[in-house]
Parts: sequence; structure tokens; C-alpha cells
Amino acid sequence: MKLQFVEMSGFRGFRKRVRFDFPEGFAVLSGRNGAGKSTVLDAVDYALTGSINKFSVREAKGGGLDDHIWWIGPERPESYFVSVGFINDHQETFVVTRTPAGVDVDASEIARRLSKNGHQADTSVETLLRTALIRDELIASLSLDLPEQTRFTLVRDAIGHLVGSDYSERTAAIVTAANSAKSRQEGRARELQTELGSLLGQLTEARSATERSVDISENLRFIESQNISLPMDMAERLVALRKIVADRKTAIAEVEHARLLSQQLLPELAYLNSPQAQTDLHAARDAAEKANREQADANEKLASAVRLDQAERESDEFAAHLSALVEHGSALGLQEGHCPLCDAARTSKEFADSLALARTRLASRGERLTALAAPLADARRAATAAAEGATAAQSHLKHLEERHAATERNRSTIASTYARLKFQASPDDPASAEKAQFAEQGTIVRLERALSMLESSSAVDRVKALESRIASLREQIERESARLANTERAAELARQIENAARTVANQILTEQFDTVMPLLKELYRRLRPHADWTEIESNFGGKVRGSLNFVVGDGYNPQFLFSSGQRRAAGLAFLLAVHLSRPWCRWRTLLLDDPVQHIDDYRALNLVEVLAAIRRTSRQVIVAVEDPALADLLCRRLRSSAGGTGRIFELHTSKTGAPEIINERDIYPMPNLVLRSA
Amino acid sequence: MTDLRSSVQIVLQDAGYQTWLASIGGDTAIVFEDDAVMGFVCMFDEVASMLQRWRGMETALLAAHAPALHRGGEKAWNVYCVFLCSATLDEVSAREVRWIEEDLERTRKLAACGLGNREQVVNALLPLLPIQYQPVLDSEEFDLTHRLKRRIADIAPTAGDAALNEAVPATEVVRILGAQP
Repeated sequence: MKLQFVEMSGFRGFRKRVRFDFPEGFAVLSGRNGAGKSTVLDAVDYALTGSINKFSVREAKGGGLDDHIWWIGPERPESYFVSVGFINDHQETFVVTRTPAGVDVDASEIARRLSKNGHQADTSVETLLRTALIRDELIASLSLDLPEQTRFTLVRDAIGHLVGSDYSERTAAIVTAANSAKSRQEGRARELQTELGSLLGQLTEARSATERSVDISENLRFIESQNISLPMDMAERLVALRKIVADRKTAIAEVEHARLLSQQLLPELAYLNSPQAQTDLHAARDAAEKANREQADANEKLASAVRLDQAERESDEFAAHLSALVEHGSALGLQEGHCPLCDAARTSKEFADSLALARTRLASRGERLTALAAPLADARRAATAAAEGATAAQSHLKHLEERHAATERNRSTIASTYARLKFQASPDDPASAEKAQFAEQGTIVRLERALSMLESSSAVDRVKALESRIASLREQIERESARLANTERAAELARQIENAARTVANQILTEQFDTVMPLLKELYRRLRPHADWTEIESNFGGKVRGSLNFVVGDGYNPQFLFSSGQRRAAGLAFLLAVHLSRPWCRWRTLLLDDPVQHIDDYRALNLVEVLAAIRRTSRQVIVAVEDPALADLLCRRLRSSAGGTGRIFELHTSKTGAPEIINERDIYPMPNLVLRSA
Repeated sequence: MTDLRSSVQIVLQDAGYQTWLASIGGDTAIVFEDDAVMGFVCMFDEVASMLQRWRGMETALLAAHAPALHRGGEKAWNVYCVFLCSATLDEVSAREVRWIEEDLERTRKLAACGLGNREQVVNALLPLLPIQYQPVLDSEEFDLTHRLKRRIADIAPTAGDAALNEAVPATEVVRILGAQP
């Protein structure tokens, strides 16, 4: 696969559409600074990667790289794009076009097309470009002046793809799974050990319980004597007996409570059942009846007094009216022999006597009212006193009756409690009840002890069960311990495999570099960076952090020993060796952007000879140089042949300021056997 | 001298050059040419002789082949004059020999001394030769999978295939590892 063409419009300094068709052999781009030589190579970089790797700074004041990719001058271009074409030995082509909107082929497809089968997955277009395009800006910075780890990375990326799949994730997953299995197994072993500890504790308790065991049959007989029916199964029997004991304990507690209550009732019962209590009750009833009667009498007298008082008051009202009539009749006088009030025929005397009589009666009315007030007040006081006496008598009677009722209720409650609990005792006889209660408590103690004995007898079975379970558990622990040993071994082996994957990968990489080193040494010898140190050695590898150092003479570091030009020459040897050691790469084009800056004529000539040698490996070489003489030298030495001709593009800056091609010339093969004809 | 002359011709012919001998005065030179490059190889017994005579030899060779070079057109710019000596040189002479190479007048000069074997001859003629070392990196020995399987087989004999097979769950690999004898 070789570069077939680069076409662009509106890209960097090229406003107009321009196309560079490259022959299979070589191409030389020649022109002064700013003539657009590097832009042609930038176009390849940008089309494939979407960036231009010579710019280490992407953001800056006044706009970043992305703001300067496309034409920013006056007059808008007809279009904005870069297009890069490739062609293989079978004349099959492959084109990548990138516009401001994006690229028409994604990076993985580009990497797939430009890599050999089996290496596409490991290849990035950035690595591809970094090892194919050698720029002036990168010669020093990406070679000798590179930090040793970065230099290592560059070599690893270039030659390391042949190592094959990276198993770091796979082996890490195995280590994780092994550690996880080990942790699980450790957890399981811990759980079993804890369970064993618990069982051993239970076994000790059970064994102690069996030692307390006495005659079981005696206890069973006692239980039977209590008319207690129990299941045959020992476990069920224990459960039932435990419930019976608990129930009877609850019942006897209730009996005790009732009994203590009956004890408290005893003095009250003694009084209530006595003749005095009956006498007191009858007396109270009599007193209540008498008080009621007295209250009725008092009330009757009061009513009578009230009536008298009422009648007098009504009479007093009549008298007031009569007084007014008398005064009116007196004022009118007899009217033609007739009373002016009732029109009865009266004589004057009769009329005057009647008036006098009326006035006399009216004069005595105040005295009668005063005489009636005192008996009424007395009657009222007597009625009140009688009512109070009746209330007090009723209250006393009610208290006595309530006392009888309360005592009867408590007695009834105690009796019903005894009956409900089938406790044979009288509420009136707390002493007998106490005796019966103590007897029942004695029975419960016997039952509880019998229960304990029976439980002890079950402890024998429990000991056997525990011993069996412990034996089984110990076997299980043995098996789990063996499994734990397996998981520990698996974890250790997984770690060894992970280390092996890392070590083997490093070993292979080191061996690959050792395989590449003769080529690096050859290129170093060809480029002759330094007159005295004509050989170079390397120190490659490192388990923790891979590094690559170069050494000349007796262990000297050329990075700090060589001049700028010499470092560049040595750096070129390194970069070219990396480029030539990419067996994964299908793309056989070497791109060089102004590789001879700071390099003297002699070493530039060495470089040209190296490029000529590289051309003999059927690689396409495309090189941009400023010096026209060097461009001519390249055209003569890069070996144009029938299988791979050359072409030179001479570029310059046009009147508009944009670069343009002013001359494009094919380089034809040279005549053969010139000297033979001498 | 004969050995060096043979060695040079063999190395050049292996690199695709045609070679033949030509007589210049009393000396014998090797003439070589391919599609792009041509030139002459002059051999000396003594370093001093080489340092003294190289320029004269260059002039004589160019003069003798002037018509042909004229016909060669652009190719005439690609003429090499190679001066070789089997004798070893001291530090001072080494610098003088290097100056011959750094003289860019007329032809491209290569100069070397102490040539006792083929490797030294190749080194001397390196600018004329194709790339000598082509690293072969895609052999089975550089296949990580292949080598790692062998290494894993040493660690856990029955896990070699399963450990690197993504289709086998990691837990199954752990089981196999745990079952190692």
C-alpha cells in the first residue's frame, strides 16, 4: 500500500483546489519556507488522524489548532476538504476524505486498511502516522531528547504489535476470580469453624445435663399419678409437660391472688354475717322511714302555711281594690239614693256605714299579714330540716346495703376464680384455700423437677445427635479446608500466570528490540552522527517502567554529549529504524518533512544515501526539502526505476500569498552501464 | 590485496552492482555501476600511500572515464570514489581519512582502513549498499500467546489452553488451577 495522491482545497495555506499525484517510487517536495511543502504532509496527517501531530500545543491565545486547520484568508475557497488516496500492488485504491464536518472513513477502518491481517485491532492511526511521518519538529523531540520511558513507548507501539493479544485483562480477571473464590472459601471455612465452636459448647452443656439425670421411671409414675396424659414421643412429651407446668404455674399465681383477697374479706364477712350487722341495717331502714315521714309532715305544714299566706295576700289585693272603691264611692257620694259603686238603693246612713265598715276592714289587713309570716318561716325551716334528716338516713342505709353488695361481689369473684381454676376451696375459708394452694405448688415443683429429669434424659439423645453432627461437621471442615487449599493454590497460580503474561510480553518486546537493534546500529553507522563515536548501543527494558537509553563509547549518553545536529542525525537513525521495523504495517511509505535542518552537508548526504537504501526495500519515499540542490540530489539518488519512478513538485508562494505548484516533473530512470562503455 | 579486491567485488555484486576491473596507470581499480550509482574502488597497502595518492587517483579515474561520464548525464553526479586500505591506522591518520570523506568536491568519496574481513568491507561500503538488516519480528517465537501458553503449562500443566481462551470463564480457569496436582 502506497500513497497515491493528496488533494485538498481550503486547507491550511492552500485556498484553491490542488492535487499531488505521487508515483510509486518517490516524490520530492521543494520550495522555500511557507511554500506549502509541509502542508502536503500535514494533509496526510490530518486526513487520517483528524489532527496535526507536529503541534504539541492545541490551544493558544488567538485560537487553537482547530481554528487554523482550514483556510482563514480572504476569498472563500470553493470547498474545504483534504483527500488522501492509497493504492496497493493490485491497483486497488482506498481514499480517505476529511472535511470540517468529519471524515468519511472511521479510524478503525483506516487502521484496518493500512495494517496487515491480524494486527488491525492493535493498531491506531496515530501510531501509524507517528512512525510513518518524520518531521523536523519531531526528529529531535521524539528521538534522542525523548524521555527514556516515552522512547520505550514509541518503540513498543511500533514493534510491539507483533506480540499479539494483550492478556493483561484476561489474567487480571483470572486473578480476581481466584481471589474471589479464595475469599468465599475462607468465609465458608470460618462459618463452619464458628458452627463447630457453637456445637462444642452445646455438647458440653448437654453432657453436663446427662450427668444430672436420675430415675426417669419414678418421675413418669409421678406424672401419671397426677392424671396427666402425655404423648409417647419424648420430644412431644417434654413440650406438653413444659406447657402443663407453665399453665399450672399461671393458675396457682391467680389462685394465690384470689386467696389473698379472700383473706382481706374475712373481717368484713365476719361483721356482715353478725346480728349486729342485721340490727344496724334494720335500724337504718327504720330511721330512713321515720325521716321520710317527718319530711312528709313538715312538707304538709309548710304547704298549709303557704296557702294561708297566699290567701291573705290575695285578700290584701282585694282590699287594695276595695280601698280604691271606698275612696271613689266616698268621693262620689250617694247618687239619687243609689250606691255609685253597685247602684243598690241605699240610704245615706247605710251608705256611710258601709264606707266606715270598709275602712275598718282595710285598717286591720297589715296586722293579719304580719301575724302569718312567722308560722310560714317556721314551717319552711322544719321542712328543710326534715329533708336533710331523710337524706342522711337514706345515705346511711345505702352505705350499709352497698357494703353488703361489694363484699358479696368479691366473694363471688373469688368463688368463680376457684371454680374456673378447679381449685377446691371456699372463699369464706382462706386458711383451707391456703393449704390447698401450698399443696398445689408442691405438686408443681414435683412436676417441674420431673420435667427437668425428663429433659436430662433427652440430653443423652441430644449428646448423641451433637456428637454425630460435630463429627460430620469436622469432616465437612476437612473437605472445605482442602478446597481452601485449592483456592489458595489457584490464587497463587493465577498470580504467577499474571506475572508470566507481563514478563513474557516484556521478554518478547526486549527480544524484538534486540532483533531490531542491528538495523538501528546500521542506520547509525550510515548516518555517522559523530566522527569519534561510530557505534551506538542501547539499554532496553525494565520490569516496572520500560525505558530505552542509548549509549556511546564507554557508557556515555549521546543525549547530553552530541551537538544539536548530531542528536538529530542519531535521532533520525532511531526513527528510521522504528519505521523499518513495522512488520504489522501494510502502508510502505516513508514521509519526511524537512529532515536536514541543522545537519551539515556531509550528514545530509549520508541521509540521502540512507533514503536511497530504503528506496531499495520497495518503499515509497516522499520528502520535503527547502534546498533546491538537495532536492536535485534526492531526485538523482532516490533511484527512479521502471517499477518505481520519481516526481518532483516545486512549490512557491503565489502573488495572492497562497502556495501553488509551479513545476511538476517526472524523474526518469538513469542510463545503464555508463562506465562500461568507456 | 587480492583478498580485499575479491571481497569488495563480491559485496558490490551482492548489492546488485556490476563490477569489473580497470587499469589506471600502474594501479588496478574496481569499477562498479547499477541503475543509479557508479564509481571506482581503489585499494592501497599503506595508509600513508592512500592519504598521499587518493586525490590523484580520483582525477585520473575521472579523466579516463570523462566521455562516458559525459554521456551519463545526471548519473554523472552519482559517481563514487572509494579508497580502501587493509592496513590499520592511528588516531591522527583516522581523522585524515575522515577528511577524505568530508571532501564533497567532484565525487562522493568513501575511505576506510583496517579492512580484514567481509564485515569491515561491508561497513566501508555501507553508503552504497542496500539496508543490511531486515528484522524479522513475526516469527512464532515472538507470539505472546504461543510462548505464554508454554509458560503457563510450566506453572499449571492443565491450564495452558483454558487460561488464555476468552471463551472459558475465569471461574472455570480458577477451578482448573485449584485442581492442579
